[in-house]
Order: sequence, then structure tokens, then C-alpha cells
Amino acid sequence: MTGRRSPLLLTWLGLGYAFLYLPVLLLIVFSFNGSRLVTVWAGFSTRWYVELLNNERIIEAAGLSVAVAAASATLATILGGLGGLALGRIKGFRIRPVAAALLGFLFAAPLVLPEVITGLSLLLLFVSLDNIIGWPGERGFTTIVIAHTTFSLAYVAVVVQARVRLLDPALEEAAHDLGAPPARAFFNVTLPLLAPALAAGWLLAFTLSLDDLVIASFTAGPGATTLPMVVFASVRLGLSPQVNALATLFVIAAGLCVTLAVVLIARTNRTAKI
Amino acid sequence: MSGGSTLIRIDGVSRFFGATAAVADVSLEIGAGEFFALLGPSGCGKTTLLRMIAGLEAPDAGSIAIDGAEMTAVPPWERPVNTVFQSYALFPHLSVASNIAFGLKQEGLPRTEIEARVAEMLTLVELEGLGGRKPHQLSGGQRQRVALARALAKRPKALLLDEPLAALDRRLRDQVRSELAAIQRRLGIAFIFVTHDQEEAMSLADRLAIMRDGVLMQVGTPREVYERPSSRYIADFLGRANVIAGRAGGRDGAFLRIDTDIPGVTLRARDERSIGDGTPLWLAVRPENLSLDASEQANRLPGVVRESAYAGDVSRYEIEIGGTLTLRAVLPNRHGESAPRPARGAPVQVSWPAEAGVVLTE
Repeated sequence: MTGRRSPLLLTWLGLGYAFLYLPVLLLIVFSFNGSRLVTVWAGFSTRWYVELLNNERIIEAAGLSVAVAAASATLATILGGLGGLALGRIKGFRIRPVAAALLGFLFAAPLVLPEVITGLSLLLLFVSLDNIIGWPGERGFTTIVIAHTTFSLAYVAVVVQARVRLLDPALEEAAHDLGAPPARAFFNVTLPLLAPALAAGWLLAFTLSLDDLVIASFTAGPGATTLPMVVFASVRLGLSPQVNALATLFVIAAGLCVTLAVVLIARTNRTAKI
Repeated sequence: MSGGSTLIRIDGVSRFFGATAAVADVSLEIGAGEFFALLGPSGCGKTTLLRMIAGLEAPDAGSIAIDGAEMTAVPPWERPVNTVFQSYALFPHLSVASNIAFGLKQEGLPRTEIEARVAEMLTLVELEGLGGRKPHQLSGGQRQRVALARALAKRPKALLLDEPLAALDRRLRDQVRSELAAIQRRLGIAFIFVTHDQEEAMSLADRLAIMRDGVLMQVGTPREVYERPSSRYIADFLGRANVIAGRAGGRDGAFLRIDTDIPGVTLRARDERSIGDGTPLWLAVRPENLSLDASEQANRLPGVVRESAYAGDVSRYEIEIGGTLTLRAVLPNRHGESAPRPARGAPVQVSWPAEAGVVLTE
């Protein structure tokens, strides 16, 4: 390809991005629509945002969603971080390449597993566990957190693993050589160097949990409704401009989290190269 | 061993990776205050041996003692030696000063003491005023000095350096080489460095050990191993000696006669050993010991110049002898040298004194 920018190519580029983002843009525009009818424009207004903030059901669901997202992202960061650390150094464990590849694949499989299957299998697990040991009892906050942790830790592991691969293995050896036993070498050298990747992983996990409808629907009980569940339920009863407003806030929150995560990943990969 | 008492005693050490021995039954003693080189091609086991001294790699057999204390089972964080890694392994999230202070903090030294030592180290490596920089803000040469300062800050009994000059460009390498030598002389502690560069090893080290395929081939001062190599491998590895195959053919007093495969050519070399007639052996002669005239009596061969290259300080020649043997000769180019130099294709007499050859039996 030469450096020429053909108008045809630019058009295709524009169409491609329009296909991706036009629906979201429409949604944001209509969230500022003064009309009760979702598809008829009646002037600029922020009334739906005001109504949204007074809707107790939605505020409560938002609170639960944020709590679930924060808890599951934290758990996923710890577990996925450890997993990513191990997978990133798997060559050092002197196991067969086939076994190493299999371990890596099994860890990343939740990335491609259909959500319906993940949700259903977790529901089955919780029901049988409850029958056998009497836990977790009624499904709600705890079960959604566990469910979200299981799939989002794979994302954290992928991000952390990439970072671990870029780290010079001599760094930890240098710490040992300078008098730091393994635990201190980990906390003084490895952990600070992984921190940006862990933060990026946390943000990704937080976003994934906040957005999830399918898995939450399987693992939530009658008393616990997350924000996407409220949105989905209300859309079935008919489109409301309030939902547009809510969705706009969602897009902004998720967009911020993902942007921050991408910036963190890019920055950490740059400093890792010295 | 030159200079003082034994600091590091390596006794029958082996290390296997799978079925291959990276280090095979190596025994070696390194003196306190010695500048010691582990020399060999890549994959010869020199780095593995260095890592075993540091404790980063455990020997499968044998033992290592440092300053009289058994170290084989002691982890790296408790050994009185420090390492300058080939990649330098500076902590990218810490400033230069914090990098240097890292090891001192592990010892739990008081803060004033740590600050004093960091300042002292920055002066030693001439990086005053750069303590606040991050490693990625430094040049390659500056990073290398930080790595050196960080390892020396703990006042180790020996400093281990893994290919300390490999990552630097040629101009910087010569400068850092003389700085390393100066720092070693000033501190007086043992420096043990790994290198594949024979010139680097010869010019820096008090003594050097040459390794090949995990085996220690020869240990000695640069002069000993260069002038008296113990095997064809070392004769060729250090300075690319001419190696001529032959058989022992009796003695002329202190000289051994060597019958070669070239018809009618018998060579002479000084050798005190009693070697039975007919024993296969090799004669190693350094290119700089050859003369391209008949000035020496002991060894004289007729040949033809095949290649000649003017390289400024010296000229290099390749001379073909009797169709089967090619000898390399290096002659200095002094200003005003009057004797004409042979051109390509010209017939010459190659000669060298009996003292210049080394008889090798392996």
C-alpha cells in the first residue's frame, strides 16, 4: 500500500465506523429528546435524566450493579493476576509445551464461551451446591459476584500475562541478588511493575460486570436486580426515553473505563521495553 | 594463583539441563582481589557457572565455597557477592538513587547511612546529580554504571559481571573497559566476569579460565594461555594460531623434531617433555611469530603468498605451503621499513624460531 489516501477508501472507512457507532450516537441524541415518543424529535431537554435520578428502582439497581462490579473486579484482579503471572512464566516451570498451551487455553476459554452456557452452568452449580451443603442459599449479590468473577478473571489474566512476558526475568533475580527474599522481591519489584496491568484488568472486569445481562439473569435471585436487568425488563414493556438516558450514562462510564484501561496498557508496555 | 588467599573455591561442580551438561565437573579457585575472566563461546557454560556462584542456579553436583563458607545451599539473597546482569536489570519504576539503595534497604541500614553510600556510589561511577533520573532517561553507558553502582553498594566480597560490555557500542566499550579496570583496582575486591570476547578477557583479566561445552579447558594468566596453550582448541580460539599436524621425530638437544605430512619438511620446537617417536601431535605458531624471509634457521618452509591485506598497523598474509597447508602471518608496518613486502603470488620463505612453536598433544 502506498501513502496515497484515496477518497474511495476514506468513504469505506467512514461507512465502517458509522455502522459501528451510528446506533449509539442516535441513542445519545434521543436521550436529550423532549418528547415522550422515543422516535419523534421534539427539541432538546434533559428531563429524562432528571426523571432517571428520581427513579428509585433504577437507582437501587445501579447501586447493586456498581457494588457487584467493584467486588467481582477486585476478586477477578487477584485471581486473574495470579493466573496471568503463572501463565506468563509457564516456560520457566519446565512443563511440556502441549500442557502449557492447554493450561493457557483453558484459562482463556471463558473469553469465547457463550454467556448463556456460562450462566446456565453456574446456575446449575449454585442449585446443586445449595442442595448438598446448603450454600449459597438464596441467589443474589454473592452469586452474581462469583459468576462475574469467573468470566472476568480470564480478561485480567490475558492482560497481566502479556505484561509478565515483557518483564525482564532478570529483574526478580536482581532483587534476590541484592538481598531480597522471594516475597519481598515480589512486593517491591514485580508487583509495582504489574500494577498498571492490574489496574487495566480491574477496569476491564468492572466494565464487563457492569454491562452483563445474560449471566446476571441466570445467577440473580428475585431480590437482586442489576441495572442491565432493569433496562431489559423496561424495554420489554415499551421503549422509554429514560432508558435512553440511562444507556447514555452507561456508554460514557464504560467508555471512560475502557479508555483508561487502554491508556494504562499502552503506557506499561512502553516502559517495559527498557 | 596470583595475589593473596582463595576467595571462591569451586569444587567438582556440574549442572545439567536435561541430558546435556551445561557445566561439567569444573573445579576452580579465584583469589581475593583478582580480576578473573570466564571466557568461551556462547553456550559453553560460562554464564551458568557465574549464576551458580551468585546462587541463581543450583549445581547438580559439587560444591561452591565463598571466603571459606560453604555456599552450595545458601540462597542468592544471603550470599556476599553481587551481580551486574547482562541486561543490567535496573528496576524501571525506581529512580537511579532508589535502584542503588535497593540492596542497602534490604539490609535494614539506617537512612543516613544509605544516603551516604548512594552518594559515594554515584561519585564512584561519575553519575553525580543523576540520582533522581529514571532508568529510561539514561543512555546505555549510564545504565551500565548504575547497574555497577547498585551491585557495588552492598560492598560485596566479589562482583560478578555477565558480559558487562556486550550491550555497548564499540567506542563506549573501550572507555568502559578502562573504567572497570580502574574501579577494580581502587576497590581491590574480586571481579569475576563472563565474556565471549577474547581480547576483552586478555586485556582486563589477571587470570582467565577458558570453557568449552561445559568443560574447563585451561586456567592461567593471559600470557600463559596465549603463549602456552594446552590444546589445539585454545591455540585457535585465542588469537587464531597456525596449527600444523605432525609426528614426533626424535630430539635435537632441547628441541623436539616434528615430521610433517609435507614431503621433506621437518620442524623444530622447544619442548622438555619426553614424547615417544611417531606420536601424533600438533605444532602451534602465532601469526606474529612468522617471518616472510629466511632469517630463522630452525623452521623454514617455502611457500606462495595467496592473500595479502594491508590493515594500517599490520599487514596480514596467507601463505600456501605445498598445496595442503595455509599459514597466517602478521607483520607490523613500521614507518620507513625498507624491505619490500611480497605481493600476491610471489614465492616466499616462511620461517620462525624454535622457541615460537608450542607442541600440543591434544
